[in-house]
Amino acid sequence: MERENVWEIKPGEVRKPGSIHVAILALLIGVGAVAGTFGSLSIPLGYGVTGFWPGVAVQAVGSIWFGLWGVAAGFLFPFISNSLAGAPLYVSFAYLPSNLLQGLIPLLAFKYMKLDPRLTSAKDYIGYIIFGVIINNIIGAAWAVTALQAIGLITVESVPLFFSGWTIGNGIPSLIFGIILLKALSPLVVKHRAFCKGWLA
Amino acid sequence: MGKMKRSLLGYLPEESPIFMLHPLTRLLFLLVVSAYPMLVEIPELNVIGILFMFAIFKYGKVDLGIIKNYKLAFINLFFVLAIAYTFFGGYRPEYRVLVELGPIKICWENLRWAMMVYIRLIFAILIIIFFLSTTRERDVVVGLRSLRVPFSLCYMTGLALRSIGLSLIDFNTIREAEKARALDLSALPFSEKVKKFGLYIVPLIALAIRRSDEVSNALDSRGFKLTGLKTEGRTDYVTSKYRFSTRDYVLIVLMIVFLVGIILVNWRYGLFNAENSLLFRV
Repeated sequence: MERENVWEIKPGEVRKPGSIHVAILALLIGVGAVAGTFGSLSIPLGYGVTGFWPGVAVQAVGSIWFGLWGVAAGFLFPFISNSLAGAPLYVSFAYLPSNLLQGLIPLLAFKYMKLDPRLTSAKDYIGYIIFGVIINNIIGAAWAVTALQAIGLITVESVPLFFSGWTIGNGIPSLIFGIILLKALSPLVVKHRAFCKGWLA
Repeated sequence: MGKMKRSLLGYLPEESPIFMLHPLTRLLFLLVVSAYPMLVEIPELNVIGILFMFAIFKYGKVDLGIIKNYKLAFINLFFVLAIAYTFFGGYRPEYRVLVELGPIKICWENLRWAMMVYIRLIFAILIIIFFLSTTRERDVVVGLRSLRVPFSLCYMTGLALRSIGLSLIDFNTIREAEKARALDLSALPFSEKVKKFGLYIVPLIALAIRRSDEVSNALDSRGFKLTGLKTEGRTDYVTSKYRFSTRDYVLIVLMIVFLVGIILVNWRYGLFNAENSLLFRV
C-alpha cells in the first residue's frame, strides 16, 4: 500500500496563513517558555545551558507541525524562558541562531524527505532521531559555545564541557519527549487547520 | 499593605516610583543597561553596577525576595564557573599555580577570570530580574508600540506573553490532576521526573492546540489581520494611556550617553578591559 503523504497539497486545497497561525505561534511560545523554564531550573550548567531542557522538544516538534510559525516560536520562547531562569539578556541574544536551527533543521528534513510526523515507519523515526535529536542539537550547541567563547564568558578549554552539556541536555529530552509528542499528537495535528503543509500554511 | 500591581515575575506596590516611568524607558533600560556588563570587564565597576541595581531595587520598592528565587541559579553558576575555570581553564607557563591536583593545575589567572565573569553575570542577571519584576505584559507592548514596531508584531508579543500565563495555569491544572491520581512530580527523584514529564507536556500542548481555535476566533472577531488592523485610523488605546515626561527623556539620554561613552572609551583607550582591573595587579 502506498504511504500517505501528509505534506501533499491536494487539488483544490487552499492554504493561507491566518489568525490560527498567529494563535499557534503565541501559544507555542507560552508552552515552550513553561517547558523551557522547567528544564532551565532543573540542572542549570550556567548561561542558560542546562543538563536537561524539555523546551527543545517543543522547538523540534512545533516546527515540524507548524512550519515557520513553529520555527519562529522555537526561536523566541527560549529568549523568555532563559530570561526567567536568570540568563543575561545578551547571552539569550547570542543563542538565537542556535534556537532557530534547532527548529529549522527537523522541519527541512521532514519536508524534503517527506517524513510522516505521525512516525508510521522506521524511516520516520530514524529521520527524526538524526535531524531532530542529533544534527540540530550538535549544530545548535556548536553555535552557542562559539558565541559564549566569543563574548569571553567561557575559555577555549571549557568549550567541550558546555558543548556536551548542551548536546546531551537537549538531545535526551528531544529524543524522549519529541517522539512521545509526535506519536501522541501528530494524528490530531495533521487534521487541524493550523498544520502547515507548506512553510506558512 | 497598599494595592499591588502584577508584574512578569511578581507584584509591585502601586506607589512604586517605577510606574512614573514610561514603559519605553523601562524597555530601553533593559536593552541599554544590559550592554554595560557585556562591555565592561573590570570587576570593580561591575560591583558598583551590582550595588546600583540593589539601590534601584530598593528605590523601586521591588520585593528583594524575588532575588531569593534565583539563589539556586546564582550558586549553580558559581560552581559551574569555578569548575569550568579551574579544571578546564587551561594552562600557560606564565600562570601562577596555586594548587596541583595530579595533572590538574589550579592557577590564580583562571580563578581571577572566573571571578570577573561571575561578577559580570550577576550584574547582568540583576538587570533582567529588575526588568521582569517591574514590567507587565502591557508595558512591553506599549514600549514596542512607542518604538513604532508594527501593530501585528506588538499584538503577537502581547499575546505570546499572555499565553505564558495561560500555559502556567494549564500546567498547574495538569499537575493538580496528576496529583489527584497520586502522581506528585516534586516528590520524585530526577530520573523519574524526566520519565513522567511526558505526562505533563503532552496535555499541555494538546490544550494549547485546542485553545488556538478559541484565540483565532477571538482575533478574527476583533478585526485582527497579519498586516495590521482591518480598520485604519483606529485609536491605539494602550499607548494613549501613557505620556512621556522630562524624567523619561533625561533617563533615556543618560543611559545612551553612558553606553556610547563606554563603547568609545573602550574602543579608543581600552579603559574597561580586564587588564586595568585591580585584580590584575595582585
